[in-house]
Order: sequence, then structure tokens, then C-alpha cells
Amino acid sequence: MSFSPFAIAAVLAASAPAVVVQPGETLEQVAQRALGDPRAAAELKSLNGLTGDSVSPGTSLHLPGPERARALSALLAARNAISQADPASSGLAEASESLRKAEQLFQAARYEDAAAAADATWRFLSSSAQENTRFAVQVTDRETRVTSQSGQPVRVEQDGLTRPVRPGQTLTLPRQSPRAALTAPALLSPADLARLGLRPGENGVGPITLTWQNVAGAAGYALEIVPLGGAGKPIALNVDKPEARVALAAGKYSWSVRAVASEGDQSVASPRRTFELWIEPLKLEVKETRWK
Amino acid sequence: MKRAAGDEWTPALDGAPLLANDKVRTLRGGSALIEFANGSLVTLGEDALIGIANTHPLPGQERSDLTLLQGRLDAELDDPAKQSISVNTPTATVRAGREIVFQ
Repeated sequence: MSFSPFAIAAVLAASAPAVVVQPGETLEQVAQRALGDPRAAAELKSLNGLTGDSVSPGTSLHLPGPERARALSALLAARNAISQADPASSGLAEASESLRKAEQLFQAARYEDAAAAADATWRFLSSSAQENTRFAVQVTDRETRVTSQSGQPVRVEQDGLTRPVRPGQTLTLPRQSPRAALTAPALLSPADLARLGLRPGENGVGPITLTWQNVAGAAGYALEIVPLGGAGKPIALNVDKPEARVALAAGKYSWSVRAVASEGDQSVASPRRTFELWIEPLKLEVKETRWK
Repeated sequence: MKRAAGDEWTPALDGAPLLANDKVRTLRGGSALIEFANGSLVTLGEDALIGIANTHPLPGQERSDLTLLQGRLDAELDDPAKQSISVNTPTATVRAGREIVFQ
């Protein structure tokens, strides 16, 4: 099977994105409908070789391909970079000129050129633009600390507000009462001071099942079991449900649970309970033999 | 490290690939170097815990590479005009490098 060049061209033309002008529709309305932005009418004019602002109903207009989204992304990034640039930056004028050129190329539907011009704005913004961008983030129970070390500023977003942190600067953000959102789980079973007789298993006694009430908003739970009397190390388990099955050695234990949010915040620990595990003696039943 | 579908923490091997929702934890005195597909580097300090974000964000969602839950990380972009990285924390989101805008 073979295609003539004409046939291939026809197939390509048929598959290219297009929009048909409806009766009474202006070019701006077509741009709004097809590209989500009435200002894209200029692009449609350039792309389709139109000289005037009116188009006849039924006219099929070519639409830009995916290269438009790439160029638009580069433009948005360049605009933001300039808006956040240090006003004293020596390259700000050149960067702004490069962005203006990129905007013009975009309007002319020269998307690849527009993306390249938008990317070029970064080179002009500061002498540090060519440096590696380095920054550090530290999270503690009380705060998040962001330190910009070199290169371009980092952007810190909190509650819809974006703040640039320039090289040499540190921004400290207190944690917003992380434990207020989740309540401590209420323990259900075993009851406090319970004595549980269990049969020995391969990994200890049991397993036993510990349960507690579900906490709204919790993505998981952090369970801590502490052997009493120095009989071993504390056991920490993270589980998704309000229950856990664990095999333990015989002995006394205390336990508590914290609710964990998806962001990692934890509630305060539940009040501790204790329980004791002991091994049930095996019952041996010896029946009377008939042999004498 | 702990895989997204797993329940157990296992020692991370050198060169181990990380996938969405995997977690990496360093212990006292430990550290880890993570290289993202775009070449950006993240070094975890001791006693740190991170989660890898979804590698295929949906349109309209903010892009994120990882969530730092505890400890310290140092990030480096050697070509910030083309690379980007974003770090979620319990308090804020930190972004560096080229801004990525999903249409």
C-alpha cells in the first residue's frame, strides 16, 4: 500500500485542529470558544493569513497545535520571573525587552520563537542566573525554615501568598497549631488493666488486637506499645485503620495511639492504658484406658 | 525506604528507583542523595522523612516533587532555567527554578 504526497498532505490537513465560524460570531468570540481567550484572535489571524477582523460564517480556521501551550507556559514563567525579580537587577531592562519580543512572536503565532524568547529572559535577570540554584528546607515540630543559598530566588507559597526568598535570606514559617486539627483517639480494647490469657505463637503470644475509635481527618495512626519493667524496647507501629494486631511476649505493657494527618501532623497521644499478657497452660486430657 | 504499596521499611540500595508515594527516611547520622528525572538533586540530612509526590500531576493541580515531613533537605538545580523543583512541607510549599504551568 502506498500514498501519494498529495494524499498524505490531505490526511495531515484533515487531522489538523480546526474550528468553524458560526453565524454572527466575531473572531474574538471564536478565539474565546476555541482557545479560551478572546485576545487569541490575533493568533488566529496570523495563523490563517487573515487581513481583516471579520470572517464569514462557515469558514474553517486552523487552530494552533500543542506548541502553543508550551510557548504560553514559557511566557507565564517569564512574566512571573520578571515580576519577582530584584528591581535593582542589572539585566531587568534586557529581560523585559526579551519578554516584549516573546509576546509579539506569540501574537504572530510563532510559538517556537516565542518560547525561545521567553526562555531568554532568564539569562538577563541577574548575574546569578547562571549559578546553580541552591536552597535548604528544614521542618521541625514548630516551624518550616527556608534558606536560599545561591542562584535564583526560591518561591515560598503559604495560604495563597507567594514570597520570594533571595540568596542569603532565610524565611521562617511557624507551624500553625499542627495538633489542634486532630483529636486524640479514644482507646477501645483491651480495657485498661486487662489480663489476657493467650496461646503461644511463632512470634510471641497472641496475636492480640488493639482497637480505638476512628478520628475524623486522620490518614493513619501511630501506635506505641511500651513494655513495662524494662522488659524490652518500645514498639512503634504505623497503621491505616483504627486497629492493630501484634504478637508480643508475655508481660505487662502500656500503649497509646496518636492520629496522623496526611501532611504528617499528629494529634496528642491518647491516655495510656496497660494490659498484661500471660500464657494459657495447655489443657491435657488423659482418658481412662480400657487396658488392664 | 517504604514503597507506596508496602507496610515495611527496608534499607535503600544505591541506585534504587523511587516511585510516586514512596517514602524515604534517614536515621541519625545518615543521609541520602536523590536525583530527579530532570537532573535536580536533593540531599536528605539525618533524621529526615520525605514522601515522593505523584509523578503525573493532573491539569489544574499544583505540581509537587516531594513532601518533607521532618528534618532537613538541601536542593540544587544546575540549570534553573530548564529545571524546577517543588517541596511541600506541613506549613508551606517551596518552589525553585523554572515555573511549570499546567494548562
